[in-house]
Amino acid sequence: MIEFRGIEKIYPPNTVALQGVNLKINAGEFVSIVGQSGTGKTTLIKLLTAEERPTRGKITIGDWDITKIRRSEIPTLRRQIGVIFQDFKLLPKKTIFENVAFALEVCGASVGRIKTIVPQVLRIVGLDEKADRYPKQVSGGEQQRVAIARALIHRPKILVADEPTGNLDSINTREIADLLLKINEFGTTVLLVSHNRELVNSLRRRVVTLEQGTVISDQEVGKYVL
Amino acid sequence: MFAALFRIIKFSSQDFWRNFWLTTATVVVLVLTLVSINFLITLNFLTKTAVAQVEDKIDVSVYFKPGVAESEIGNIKSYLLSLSGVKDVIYVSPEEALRDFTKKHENDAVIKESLEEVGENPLGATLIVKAHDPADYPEILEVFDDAQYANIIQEKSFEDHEAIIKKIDSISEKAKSTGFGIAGLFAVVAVLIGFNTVRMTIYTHREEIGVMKLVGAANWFVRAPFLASGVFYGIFAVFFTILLTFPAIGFAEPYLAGFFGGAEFNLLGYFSQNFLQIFGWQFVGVVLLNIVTSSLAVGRYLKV
Repeated sequence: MIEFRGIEKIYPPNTVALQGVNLKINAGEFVSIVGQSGTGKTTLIKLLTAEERPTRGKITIGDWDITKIRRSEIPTLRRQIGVIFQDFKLLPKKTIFENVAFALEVCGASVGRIKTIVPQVLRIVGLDEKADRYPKQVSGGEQQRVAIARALIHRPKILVADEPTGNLDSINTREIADLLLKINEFGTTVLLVSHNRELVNSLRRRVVTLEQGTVISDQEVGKYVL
Repeated sequence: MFAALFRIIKFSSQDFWRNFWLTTATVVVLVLTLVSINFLITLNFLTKTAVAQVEDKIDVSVYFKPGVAESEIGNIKSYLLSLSGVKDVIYVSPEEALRDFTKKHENDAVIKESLEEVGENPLGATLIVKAHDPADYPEILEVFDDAQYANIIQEKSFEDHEAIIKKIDSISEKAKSTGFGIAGLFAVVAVLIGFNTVRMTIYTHREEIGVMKLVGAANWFVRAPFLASGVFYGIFAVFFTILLTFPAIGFAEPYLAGFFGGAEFNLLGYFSQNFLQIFGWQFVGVVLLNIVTSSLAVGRYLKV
């Protein structure tokens, strides 16, 4: 479903972030992308969400060549790829409900649709009881679950998690991992970018290891090898 | 579509109030620009009215010798009325002329005595000729230079107010130039402040903008609230300009009338009658100016 073919990304003047990356990710897979800092993991995600364009190579999602994507098509792409980050990127002045609803509001959804879908998604992530709280009134793990709820609101085919447990303790990390697995079970392709050795090893799913911008290992049921 | 439009207005109005001081600065400069423009409109109206009133006083009076037949003068009146430059010709009979003359000099004993001594009406009839345009008077005067009228015309008088009109025009032109300069300066300042306001708004909303882009908001939806804020600035600027303009006119009108030599003005009436035209165009102008400014700032600072 997702294919990176001969991807090279060079930031000016001559910083090589990725080179010769060939990667195929099937629909419904759960793939962990691991590697040390500066090995190109985040760049790979940015290429997938069209935040950056590759210097060379081709990225396709299904039949869609996103290396040639027009600016006007980028929002459509981003509604099909949910993204969560280490720092959650929640709006502090909005409640949990409003944070999730915001993703629908800015895409033109009706009030009725928002009132129907948001509680459903909050129930999936286990936060329906805390919908009226503000982000700072809940734990880090719960904040990440709000971010996951927001990422799921458009029912994306792909969920990208960029270091989602970087700011969390081990209990919350486990909870988020379980949630990601649950989402994957529903058929969503999950790409997990992580430094967390224990987490990656416990998942017992495919692991792709990057080093200096190239794929050095790709194991079906892999471990954090670095 | 309506939901999107409603939200754009909502986000835009939130920006408007959240950045209160930046908004205030932008609106104040826009108000100053519009007030300068209203000053120009006022000046234009006053000049036109004053000049029209002075021009209305210009006429040519042709005094006929006593005894000239009324029918002959009637023929001349008809001929004058057939000329394209002539607006109106008023016939003043010898009796009316004497009555006016007597009334005008009723306190002058010498003139009164002289008239009594003469016994009969010493005055002839008069034709008062008004032209459509002051430039037509030389042509009208030429008519009476014809030899056939030499024996029947006693005197012609033409009081030219050209010097006064030139003076009014000169003062008005200088004031207009200054007004244009001030309005232009304020417009430039308005663009700079508006640009900076949008830049600051983008900066303060960087988190929300980032989330919007992350969750797939359309590019136009991310940009639109910043452009819509231009409409809000326009509404408030025109509203406050109206609030300032009418009391200012009410206050200044008597002084302006005095300045223009006691001419009669109805400046308030002029602004009231042309309210939609004046303030409607100002609103359109300010909104366009703001949209252009916002577009420049959004293009420069908001990468979608």
